[in-house]
Amino acid sequence: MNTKLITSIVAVIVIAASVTVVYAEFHKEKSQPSSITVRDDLGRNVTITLPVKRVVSMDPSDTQMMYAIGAGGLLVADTSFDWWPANSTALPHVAMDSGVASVEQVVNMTPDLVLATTIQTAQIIDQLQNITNISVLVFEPHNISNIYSDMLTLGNVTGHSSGANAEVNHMKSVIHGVQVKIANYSKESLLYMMWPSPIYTAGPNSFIDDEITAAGGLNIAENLSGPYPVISMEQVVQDNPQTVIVDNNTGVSDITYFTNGNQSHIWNNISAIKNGRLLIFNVTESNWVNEPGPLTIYAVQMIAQFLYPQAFE
Amino acid sequence: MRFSPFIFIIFLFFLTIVNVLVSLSIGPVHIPVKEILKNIYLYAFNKGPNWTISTIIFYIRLPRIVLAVIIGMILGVSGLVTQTVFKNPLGDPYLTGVSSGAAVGAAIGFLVSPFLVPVLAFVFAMLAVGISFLISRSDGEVNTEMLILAGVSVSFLFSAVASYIIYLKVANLRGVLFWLLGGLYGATWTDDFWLFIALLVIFPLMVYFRRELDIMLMGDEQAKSLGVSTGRVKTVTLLVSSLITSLAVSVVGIIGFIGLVSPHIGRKIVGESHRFLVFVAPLIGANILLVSDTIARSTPQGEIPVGIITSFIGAPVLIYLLYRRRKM
Repeated sequence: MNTKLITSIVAVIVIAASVTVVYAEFHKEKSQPSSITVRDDLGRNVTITLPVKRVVSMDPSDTQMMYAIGAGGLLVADTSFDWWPANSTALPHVAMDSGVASVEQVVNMTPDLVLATTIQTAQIIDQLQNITNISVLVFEPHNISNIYSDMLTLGNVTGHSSGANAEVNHMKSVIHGVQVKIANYSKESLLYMMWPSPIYTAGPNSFIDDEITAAGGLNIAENLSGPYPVISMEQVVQDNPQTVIVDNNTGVSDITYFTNGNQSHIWNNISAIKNGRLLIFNVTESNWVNEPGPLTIYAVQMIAQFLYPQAFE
Repeated sequence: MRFSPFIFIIFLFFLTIVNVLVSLSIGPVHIPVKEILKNIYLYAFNKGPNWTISTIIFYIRLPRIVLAVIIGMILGVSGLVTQTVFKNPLGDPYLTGVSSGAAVGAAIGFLVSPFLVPVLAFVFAMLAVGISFLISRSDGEVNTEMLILAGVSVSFLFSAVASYIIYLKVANLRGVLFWLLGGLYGATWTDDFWLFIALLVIFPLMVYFRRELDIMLMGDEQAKSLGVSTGRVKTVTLLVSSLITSLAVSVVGIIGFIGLVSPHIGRKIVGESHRFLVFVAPLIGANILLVSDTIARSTPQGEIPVGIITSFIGAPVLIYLLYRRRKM
């Protein structure tokens, strides 16, 4: 009999306690700060629970944006490709198997938010987002204003809106400054070589084309379609560019590639080669150009200085 | 519906010439035919041609067109020999390991320096071919049954190595992909000169062996009873065609389907005899590659790899021929 009573009392206590705990949990959930839904560059609506405290970056350009808007302190991991700012290299690195991230390692960092680019396959983004419930923002800017909007989104999400605004205004003023300086010079036509054979270049839908345009260059690949098309030698001959810019790590180390190579009889008559108007990026310059983010202003400055050295004297 | 083979060969010859002239007037930069003719005249008589137009015609389009014809012929005749010697309708000149060997060389080239791509592609293609031949050698001659299996195995091995290098190490994936699908974008008169010499080696040799190749179709026993040493002919023709194909691949990358489809189209039109096929298969190859390359270099979105186009053109033609055969 006693046992029955005791059992009943215990049962009541357990039920009451459970209800209290559940209620408290429910209540706590409700009083938590809300979440935010933003649109990323893939057009996905991503809902992120606030506040964001732990961020994993899967691309150097994302890392750079985080530091530039003052949110670098939230990063708990980045990649071994990171090089700027200096303290980004000290963070733990997510293993990148030829650019593709290890999902296990990302999950192990228990992030609230993961930043990616389209170099990550859809499967990886899907795994993180839908299986582990970690929010993933994919940034893939196609032009400089897209870099600004990505930074502002990032500022919104991480609670660094004022930092993001300040950085965007800084970038705008630097690029405006460049454009004021070069405004009085006639535009130089330019061939950008991402790879020399066949000549891969930056087409009209790429941020590199926008960097060239912002620096006052006339990209001869403007008429092609797609972000990184192959441009024919015929068109190079026809457009006869005044300047040639070659990316780093293409095997082109100096002008002799053009003047002594297989097609020297063609190149020797191209204006840029005839006049020695050739720029070959070093590693840092290549990173400025190829990583859309806060360093893009250096890319614009560098190209403008090459195109219009008189304007910067 | 078979043409007189002799007339068909003459027809193909003139078709090639027409094809060359049409291709010369097509390209990413539009030049009216009148301007082309005028500048050819001005250039020929050294009367101050327009630099842009004459450079495009004589240093970009023409060497490239000539290269397409030569490579098409090499792949066509090599494909014919491969199919005959292996008695396998799926034979193509890459079967002995040429393409995957070349891919390994090219992948390493893309890592080290783009200038080394052709040299390394050739060296590794020959390495793969060499291994295949060594495996399948018996009594100083190749055993074709062994060779086809050795070629496939070696190809898989080299493909794995190439994929590994490309996947993990090569930064310029677009460049590699373009090379793997083939392209004549780098054509120069120097390339034309060396590949023409290669063609001068392989083509007369196959014409010389045309009767032996015919007899081989009957089977080894028959051939032996007719006094043809099939082993020697097989070894020589396969080695030479692998060598010349490797040379072609090292210059233009892996252009698929021409070597496979040209002999089949030829057989459907002039029959099995190599007396005609040794001329027909290379000329068909030349025309397919020339049309494909003209399309590849003239698309509005910039140049695309020619291997994509050859398959687009070659596959439907082959399917059509197979369909007709089924009905007959």
